[in-house]
Amino acid sequence: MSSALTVSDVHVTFQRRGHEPVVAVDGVSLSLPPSGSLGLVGESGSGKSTVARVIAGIQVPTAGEVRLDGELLAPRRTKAQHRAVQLVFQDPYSSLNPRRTVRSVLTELLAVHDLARGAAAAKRCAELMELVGLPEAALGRRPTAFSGGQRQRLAIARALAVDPTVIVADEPVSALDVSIQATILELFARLRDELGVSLLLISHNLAVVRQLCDQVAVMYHGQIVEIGERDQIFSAPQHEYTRTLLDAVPRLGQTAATNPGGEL
Amino acid sequence: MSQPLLSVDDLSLSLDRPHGGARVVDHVSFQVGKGESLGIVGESGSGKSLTLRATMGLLPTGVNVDGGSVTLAGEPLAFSGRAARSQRRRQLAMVFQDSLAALDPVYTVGYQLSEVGSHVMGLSRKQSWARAVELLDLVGIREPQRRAHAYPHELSGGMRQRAMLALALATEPTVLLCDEPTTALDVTVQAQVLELLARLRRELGLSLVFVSHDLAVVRQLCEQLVVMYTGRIVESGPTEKLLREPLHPYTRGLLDATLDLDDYERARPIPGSIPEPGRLPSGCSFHPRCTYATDECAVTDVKLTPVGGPQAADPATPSRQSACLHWTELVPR
Repeated sequence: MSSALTVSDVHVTFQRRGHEPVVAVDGVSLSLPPSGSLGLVGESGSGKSTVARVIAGIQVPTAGEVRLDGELLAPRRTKAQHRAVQLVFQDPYSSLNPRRTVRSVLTELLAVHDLARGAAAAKRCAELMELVGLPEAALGRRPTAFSGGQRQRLAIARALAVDPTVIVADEPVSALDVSIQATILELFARLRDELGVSLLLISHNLAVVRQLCDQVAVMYHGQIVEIGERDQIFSAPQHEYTRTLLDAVPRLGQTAATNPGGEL
Repeated sequence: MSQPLLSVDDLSLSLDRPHGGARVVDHVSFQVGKGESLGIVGESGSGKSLTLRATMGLLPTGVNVDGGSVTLAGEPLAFSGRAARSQRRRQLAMVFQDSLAALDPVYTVGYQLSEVGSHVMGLSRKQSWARAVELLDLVGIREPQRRAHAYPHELSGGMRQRAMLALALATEPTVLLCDEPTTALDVTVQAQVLELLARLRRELGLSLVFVSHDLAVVRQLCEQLVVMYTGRIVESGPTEKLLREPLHPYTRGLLDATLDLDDYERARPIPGSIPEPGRLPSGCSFHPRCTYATDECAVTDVKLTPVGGPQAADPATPSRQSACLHWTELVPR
């Protein structure tokens, strides 16, 4: 299977004056096929977001490399390389400029990347709104006029504007209400299937990863401790830490009466 | 239920708006007995946190009490001012979602805990420090002697949440109000904190009111459940029954929308979005999003009524209530 994205033996070490250096990522390798989806799970501090930043080109790795369709993505990327990997962040309240209308954000983005101007840009903006399930009228409004779920749709539209090969989504639904988490995940699944975008989903929520990803990698202390097909990871976890993580998830089928830790 | 320890009756709150108030909590009532635990679930904007804050006497400015009362052990409580604080001081305590914001960053955890000892509990400085260490030990912080000297930023998220719990327990309250105390935590740490809450409840005989948007978390901790939507209680009853057999379309929608690890392909979102306060639809506020809705739903002010068949009349089983005209259609055949 050919891979859209390959990450080979990436290390990231943060130097701190007067302290021991912190090894945030310790030899991570993974690959993502075209229109595939990989879930990266782990606790805070496991290094999963640092991996995402390396892939998106906003963190220079201490060692290791990232390749896209075989082409090396150097720490200093060309515009085209930047376009290829796009990020969607956790907090749709702080990741969108509150002072600009949706149209002005998207139009500028299209112009900067020489993708479309004038009428073509207007057409593309309308297309993007339709793609993420927002009315065309949304283009004239500012992000503050939207709910959390709608804002996340805007963030996704912004990522899609430059025709990326890979979307890296860092906890894209954890700031949203349960009732709309599923709609955003559905949107990601549709984009992956229809546009052939590869998806790297970073989440501490195993249920989110299970819903969306066909492959799962579990990170712990900067290393990938287990990686495999979704069903294999969830039904037959091999690593002790994966099992701990799975056991800790509160489940709807589990009650005050049956939960061993919470006996009354 | 035995004599309720904490009773909230007909509580109504509204936001101060230039063109008249917008109702955000509408005739909410619930009771919690000694040692019992009640969960309040709902989405952002359902009024669950404001209900809890009103109970604690910590309403933010701009929120008015339109009516209702809070009664603790038979004594009606004030909503604000000096009386509100002194009445609650020894009985009620609250833990918050954001432990970093809830603890004072410039004092050590031990100092903040010992302050409660000396100012509220009338202990000497030495005694209150010893009590602080004891409290940290109670909430499962290892090496409490050493940790007492730590500042909040020096502790991990889970540890800070424990420290905040210790602070809440410092006055030996009878009721603990929890506002999403585990939402910001990692799953493994969340499991530990939930376990700790269950243990404290058992050992200290605490009553809990636990606000959350996560049904699975509430299910682990609470026997009674209240579901809120746009400031109103739409359904209430024993957690177990309510989640297995929801009798309000909103509860069912919330359950269907929840991503569950064991049933991951099922999640179906609720169509539409939550209306803004002050712009609620007429009749049942959920009707525009409801698949069971009829014309009647748009014009009837639906009240919470006992539901659930013959067992509902049985005084031995805690009653279930739902605010839906069509609840019978939700009963599984």
